[in-house]
Amino acid sequence: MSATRFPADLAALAPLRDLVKQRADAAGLSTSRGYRLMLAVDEVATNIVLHGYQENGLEGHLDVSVEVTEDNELVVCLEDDAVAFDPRSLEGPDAEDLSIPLEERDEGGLGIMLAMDGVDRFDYERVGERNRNTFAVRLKE
Amino acid sequence: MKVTATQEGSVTIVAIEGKIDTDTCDDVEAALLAHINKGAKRLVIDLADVTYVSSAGLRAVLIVGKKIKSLQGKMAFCTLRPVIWDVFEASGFTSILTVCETRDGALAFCQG
Repeated sequence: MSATRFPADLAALAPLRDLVKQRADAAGLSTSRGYRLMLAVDEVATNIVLHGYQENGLEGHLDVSVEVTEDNELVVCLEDDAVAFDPRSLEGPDAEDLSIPLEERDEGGLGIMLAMDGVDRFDYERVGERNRNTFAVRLKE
Repeated sequence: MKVTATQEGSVTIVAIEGKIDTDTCDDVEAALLAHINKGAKRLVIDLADVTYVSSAGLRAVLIVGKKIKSLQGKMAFCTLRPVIWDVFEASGFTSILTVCETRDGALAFCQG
């Protein structure tokens, strides 16, 4: 599986999204599910760039690979060398939080919720000195 | 990303074009707040030409929405593409904000 390397920089997020979208379209994923997959990868990648690299004064890369598995899943694998961080450890808003009226509504926390909610499966593992985030969506039989 | 404003009576119609992501959210927020600071209290935000909104954009929407609310103003979004509507819905925005299918619907809400 070959990976595409992007600098860990906010300016790299648009081309990273384009890559995911292109591969999702090629795999036959619907527009709406392709969008949610692209959004999920963007949200996690944004976190890695801002909190994994920049906040720690680090520079590095994001390595992205996209493949269709034998189980007919489209799998995006996002790897980085920043500090260890499992996005699942962030507590996002629940259904009750989402219905809080505008004036009292917390402004943050939506990104990881949208990411987790937008794919069929999300996995995180620390592999050696690297973080590996895996996003999977089922393709139609 | 591009922001264009037109005035329709007491309502300011702001059409946004492009992507509202980590890179552009501050500009979108600043452009909308600038209209509010100049006295706009009734805002229609037309998203017909917005192709992408991430959580950074949603955060800007909440900040602007709170500002309008604190001024007892009115704000309505309109003409969202289906993928954008989906993200607004998943974030609870379709129940805490006014989101209309047409620009006329949004205009009528803000004029009321």
